[in-house]
Amino acid sequence: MPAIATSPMKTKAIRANELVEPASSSRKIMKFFAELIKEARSTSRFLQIEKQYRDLGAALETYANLEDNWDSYGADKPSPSAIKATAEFMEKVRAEPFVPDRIIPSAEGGIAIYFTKGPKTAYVEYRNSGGVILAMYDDKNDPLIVELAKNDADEYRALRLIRNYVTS
Amino acid sequence: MNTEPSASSETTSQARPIHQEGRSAVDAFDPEELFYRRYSAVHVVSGQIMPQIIKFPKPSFTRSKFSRPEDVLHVDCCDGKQYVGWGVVEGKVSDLRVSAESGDKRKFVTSPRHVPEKTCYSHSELWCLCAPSLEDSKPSESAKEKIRILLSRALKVRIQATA
Repeated sequence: MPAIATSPMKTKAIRANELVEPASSSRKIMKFFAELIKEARSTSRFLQIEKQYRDLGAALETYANLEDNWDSYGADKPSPSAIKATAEFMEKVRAEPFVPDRIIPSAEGGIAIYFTKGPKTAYVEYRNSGGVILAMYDDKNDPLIVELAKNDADEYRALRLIRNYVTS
Repeated sequence: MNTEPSASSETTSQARPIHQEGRSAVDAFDPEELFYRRYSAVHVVSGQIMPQIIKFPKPSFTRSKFSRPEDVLHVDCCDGKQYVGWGVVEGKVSDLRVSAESGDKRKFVTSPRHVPEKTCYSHSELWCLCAPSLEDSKPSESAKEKIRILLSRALKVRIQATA
């Protein structure tokens, strides 16, 4: 295999660069990767929230197709108005931004939207009857119940109460 | 929420629940007696029972004095339907006696009642009493919700649902 001839001057120039540049380029590289990691983290959180809302939307669609007596004890299926109210509330929650943990069909007829943190649980239940209930409880204390109306003012009030409760 | 067409107890290998066959209701309940209720997986999260499992008025159960936990899943106790993959929750009668006050200071207390059915003698209900009446009363929405939460706290999984 033929040897590759190199110029002594060129080799020297490269070595000189290596001696002069490393500290500054390392700083640039570290900064670049730090920003990349930061961005990846924030993107990942964003993607997690998006996925959560997609899952909640899919669950709501499933519950919209329940039949009467879905719980085997005579529960009414969630009404179109309860489904619509739940979807509208989820949009308000999303704009906050805030993320519910799950939605559950209610044997009372309706849909409940859950928020949990540690032992604290809060839910808003939209009933087929048009009633709206906010409940906040843990495993020890008396539950706090608030009867709401289906309007923006009460729903934003519910969101404030839920946020204060689960984050206090 | 997987239901299959009915199968009579005669066509299943499972021992059937006790039928009423002329027996009358037994209104005495031992505080340690258990109440059973079937559930689908949607109402249990990390082993915790969600209040949305309870429906008023008079939520139904079966009682342990006259049944086994699995009887509540038997077609004879399910209006002839079979609930594949459903589970069973249980609660002590003493823990299922809960109370809540409405805004107008009326106090509602849950109380067990034995309400036998023809093919499900153990069928029982939780009535909501408001003194002095001994009949089931309709609680206010907030009292009802509190009762649902207290009842769900008193229940735990006995047979795990798979569906």
